[in-house]
Amino acid sequence: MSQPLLLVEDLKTYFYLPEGVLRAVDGLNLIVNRNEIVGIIGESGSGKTVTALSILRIVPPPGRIVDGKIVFDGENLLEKSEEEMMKIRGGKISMIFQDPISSLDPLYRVKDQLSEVIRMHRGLTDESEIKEEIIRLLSMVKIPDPDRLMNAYPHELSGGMAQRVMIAIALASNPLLLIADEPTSNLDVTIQAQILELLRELHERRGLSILMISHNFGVIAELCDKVVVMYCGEAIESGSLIDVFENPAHPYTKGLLSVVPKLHGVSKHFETIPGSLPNPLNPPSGCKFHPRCPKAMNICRKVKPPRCKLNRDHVVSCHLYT
Amino acid sequence: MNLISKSYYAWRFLQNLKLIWSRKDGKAGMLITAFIVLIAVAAPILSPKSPYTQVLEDKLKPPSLQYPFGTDHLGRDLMSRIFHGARASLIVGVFSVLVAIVIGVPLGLIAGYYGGLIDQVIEVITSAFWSFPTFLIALAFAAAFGPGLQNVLIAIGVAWWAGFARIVRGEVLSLRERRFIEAVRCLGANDAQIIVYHILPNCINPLLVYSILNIPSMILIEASLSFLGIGIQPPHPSWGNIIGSGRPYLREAPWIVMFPTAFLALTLIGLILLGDAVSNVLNPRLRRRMI
Amino acid sequence: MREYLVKRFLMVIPTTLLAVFISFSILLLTPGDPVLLLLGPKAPPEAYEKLRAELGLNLPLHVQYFRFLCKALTGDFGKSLYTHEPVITMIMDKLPKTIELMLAGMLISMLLAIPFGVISAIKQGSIVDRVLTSFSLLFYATPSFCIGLIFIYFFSMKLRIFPVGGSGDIRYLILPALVLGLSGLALPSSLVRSGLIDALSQEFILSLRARGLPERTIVYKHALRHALISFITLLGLNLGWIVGGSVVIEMVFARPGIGTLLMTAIRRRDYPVVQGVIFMLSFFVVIGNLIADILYALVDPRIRYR
Repeated sequence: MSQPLLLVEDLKTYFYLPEGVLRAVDGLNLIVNRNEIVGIIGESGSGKTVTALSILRIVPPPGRIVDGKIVFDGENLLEKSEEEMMKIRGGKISMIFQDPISSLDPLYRVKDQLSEVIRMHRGLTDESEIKEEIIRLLSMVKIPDPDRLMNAYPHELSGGMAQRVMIAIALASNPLLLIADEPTSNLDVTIQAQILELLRELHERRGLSILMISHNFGVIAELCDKVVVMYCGEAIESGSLIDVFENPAHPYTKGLLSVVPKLHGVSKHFETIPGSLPNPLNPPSGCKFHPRCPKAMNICRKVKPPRCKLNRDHVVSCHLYT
Repeated sequence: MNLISKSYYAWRFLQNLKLIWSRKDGKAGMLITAFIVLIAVAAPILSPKSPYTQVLEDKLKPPSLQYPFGTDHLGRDLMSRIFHGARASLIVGVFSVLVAIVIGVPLGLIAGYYGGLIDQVIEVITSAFWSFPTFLIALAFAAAFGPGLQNVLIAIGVAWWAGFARIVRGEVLSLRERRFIEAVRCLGANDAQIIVYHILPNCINPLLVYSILNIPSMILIEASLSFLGIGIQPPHPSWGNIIGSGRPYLREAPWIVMFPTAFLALTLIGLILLGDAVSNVLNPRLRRRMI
Repeated sequence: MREYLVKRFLMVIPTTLLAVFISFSILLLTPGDPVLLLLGPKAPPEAYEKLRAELGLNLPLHVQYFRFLCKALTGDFGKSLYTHEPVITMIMDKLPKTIELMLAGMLISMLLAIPFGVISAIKQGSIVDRVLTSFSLLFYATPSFCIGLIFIYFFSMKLRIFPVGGSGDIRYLILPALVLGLSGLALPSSLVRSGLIDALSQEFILSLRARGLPERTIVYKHALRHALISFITLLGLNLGWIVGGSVVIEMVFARPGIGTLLMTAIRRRDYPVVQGVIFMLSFFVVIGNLIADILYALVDPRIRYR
């Protein structure tokens, strides 16, 4: 098996607030292979976004990466200097965000924001070359009439268009990995489908690996090869799409999946996971899910569950499987 | 308003006070302001002598035990004059705001409540006043009305009403469409009752914040007008006119200018800090940085 | 863009009308009979009637206002009661010195405000930030005439670097302009600071970082432009402060400008002059606000479509 593109080992990112230490990411393990689409699924507040920001090392203060290893394309990103990281951001790794219109600087036109990254990462200086490149990128993301759109300001774009522009900006440098943080959550369902379709195409045609973050099962199921389930800053289960969705091992995953209403069959009542997300400033001891877990045992309260390999790809952190 | 809501408001008020006190700027602001208010209120008791008595042999004397802040060019004790001058600033702070409220709040209410042409007309007038530098308006009206405390109060109030009108109009507009107004109307309330019992109470907070934020500027303008000679007239003491009278003697008796300056600056700093704290507490803004 | 400009120019009308109204009402609001005030008590009775008719004081109020308006817009404010010179000539004579002071003050205020604000924002919360903010606060809380007098005391009287007052070459300009600029520093610099901090906390900043743009580009090219928006709005307000402040500063430094002209006229109850100067000063404000709004539209494309 070739070397993974991205290997995250025991990542810990903490926020030092006046109220206490918020453990947003608390020992996360994650692998993204080349030419693969990996999804991170979890509730709001489970640490998905902070994970993405940690990989690029743009976690805003008072957050800090405290421990762990992030190995990308053979190199440990946590050991790199800020200058080297700047080349990687928007270079080999790009990121797109949830609210595309807010992620664009409202004072600058589309073409200016694109030319900025083109100059930066591709080193082009000739105006006409840059313009050609802009049109090429906009066409790649299926924007009709790129000539006209490139002169637009962000507030003049629809959500779908803006997201395409963001993807174009992300692709300007021909990255190896695209991190997508809830890219379709703010969009209409039909536009959502288009964007996902676009991402799939880019993945197939250019071998682009994608790390897809979402709280929406449909989106993950649509696009991803592998899935990581996050709870309270940790990856409590991971595996191939089929493994996790059809044979969920962790009680939390099972709970999450059962909450999704099914189209067929009559459900007498909706299952819910009792309780609520623990306070990230003061998480439960042992297995963080134990207060809400229907299968909790004594040991779950005291000892952190180890990672158990169920088959080649399927890993779960739960005492039930030791 | 019955007893229950009165006590609720009282409780809320106390809670807010505690919050303001817990902030550094709030604490400093409250202490300084209390100090100055104390001086103003207790001026006759605290002053060693009368602010009006002239002892010409003792004119332009530097600070000493007998005259802690020195004397002015007419031999009056500077400390007494400064303590009494605090009263002028206090009165300006309170009453100019009242004048502005008396003019601005009704206009804002009418504009917001009745809408239509009246609203447009009032809006245009308000915008015109709003874009004008307050000092200029106050200066013009002070020049017209003539000198004296009363006229200064009115001049400053006239200069400031636009902001109050705007706030009230905004509140009215946002409240007018709410369901409970409809409900209360169905129960038989007429316009006046709606305005007084339901709309006005909601305006108190923003009006309070706006007042406190603007009082420093009002005091500053009174001081400037008095300094220029068209505000409070001597022999009545105001920090502005004390400084004005000390100007010709700057070289030989700088204390006449320095001490009132120190008090003015202190008062304004205290009020500005307090204003910051109050506006932060009463206008809860979302805490930044949601992860 | 064009629509916005048209709308903005239209707003000049009510503000100008207000300016005229304020200067007009000065004479009206003054307690006492205007004609008596203008001529003094010793003139013959026919003179009063003549002046009353001339000034149209027997006409209804709105007609009077209209006449005043027309005259004001053509620059006719009548003659000074003391020197019998046309008011407009007196104003024009003294105007250059005042404009000089206002421009210099504004320049200093802006030149200091931007670096103060930027440094404070970048080093938010640090000692540097707190020192700079306290510095600005101190100058804001101390009235400009106090700062002026203190500066005169130290720099002119004790250290003898600058002349005490009057006018002449640039040495006479430095201290007044400095005082004017410093006293109006707090608001612009705090606006730059909060504008920059706000801008830096917006969502797109994270996206810009994720694109690998260097921090310097993010701060100076992107965030600062956002901060400048609030700064430019303040330009209009600051102008009001500068215009008002220059009157006081001129008095403190005994500079012969329209400020001192105004105060002398007020003291002498020379009402035509008072009206003329007040109108002139107000006019500056109106024009200044207009310029600020146009600048604002140039910097922020979102405004043009409102």
